[in-house]
Amino acid sequence: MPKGMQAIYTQTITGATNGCTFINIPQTFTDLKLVASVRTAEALAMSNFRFKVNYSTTVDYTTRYMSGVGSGLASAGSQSDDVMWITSAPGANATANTFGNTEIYIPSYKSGDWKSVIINSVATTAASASNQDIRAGLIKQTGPITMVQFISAAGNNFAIGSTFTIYGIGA
Amino acid sequence: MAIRRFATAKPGVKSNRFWDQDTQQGSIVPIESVTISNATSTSIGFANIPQIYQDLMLVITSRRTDAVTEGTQFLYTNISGAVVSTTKFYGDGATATSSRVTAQNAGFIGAYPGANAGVGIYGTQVVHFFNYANTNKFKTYFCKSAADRNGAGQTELSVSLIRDNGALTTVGVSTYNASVYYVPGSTATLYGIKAGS
Repeated sequence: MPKGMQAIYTQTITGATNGCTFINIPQTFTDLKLVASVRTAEALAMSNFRFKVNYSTTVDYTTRYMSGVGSGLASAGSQSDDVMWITSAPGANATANTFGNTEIYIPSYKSGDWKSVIINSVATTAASASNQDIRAGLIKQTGPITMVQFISAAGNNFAIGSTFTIYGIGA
Repeated sequence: MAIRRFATAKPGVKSNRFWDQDTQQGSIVPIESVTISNATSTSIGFANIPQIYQDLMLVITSRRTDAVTEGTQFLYTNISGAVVSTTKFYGDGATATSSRVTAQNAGFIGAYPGANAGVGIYGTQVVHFFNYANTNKFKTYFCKSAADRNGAGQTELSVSLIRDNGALTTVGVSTYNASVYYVPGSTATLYGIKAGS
């Protein structure tokens, strides 16, 4: 039966935690899409968070990205990370009730090749801190993705009300 | 249907399970998927597209056979002629740049790796076509492209305009080079996006 796009699971932060994990990801779709609405407890106007897959602890993530903060446009990259970084998450110093939004598209998540992913994140805090970011990411793992873990900025929790949803997309 | 856990139990996280592992849901409907199985294909496309959706979404994961690190991904439709313009901005990890091309026969929607890129690295494009079945508007599509090549490569956002009112009945990507092919394993999937009712 054709699948289309189906919401598999949503998790909402309701207390003190710095992580959110999806396990047993069904291996019946073609692609995965993850949508996160995030704020952190880090004492900054603009914070960040990260994700990784399959319990990896090795340097499996490279990225090229562009970002704009309201003036100018910059590009940078990295190739020696053990997580994939996401930059648009308001922190504790941001205007109250503002959350950043991120979409992660992982095509062919079951393939035996490295995974080429698109990450698009935006956050504006109604104050001076805003960020828009698009990045090409490469997950250097050849196994199917069965687990995704989101991790808040170092040593800080996700704000209550942050949400994470995983969708399956398939033909 | 067996109940399956999709999250680790953790204090401070509330979980909601949606998927019953069977029922088709939502507004994105798969139309067709193609996986290249030979080394002689210079294009991946879809014809006779049903004219019953509001928008289309095309997802491409591909790699090319020629001896380059990366090349331009070209998007074609059934509308012929030099009527396509593309405005894009892209970053290579050091510099972010914006550019525009006009009066082209195809859209320029990003980059994808060639034979000189590391083994097993593919590029990804997600294209959103707006109002594709309309017959009194020029057509616009928007593309997000990812082509990280393990320490090199680029990311790109682009928007293209087809200066023609005709409905889109065919869409696809092409190398536009008779001696450059898509690597077997390259895939493209076309989805229809329903309107509200």
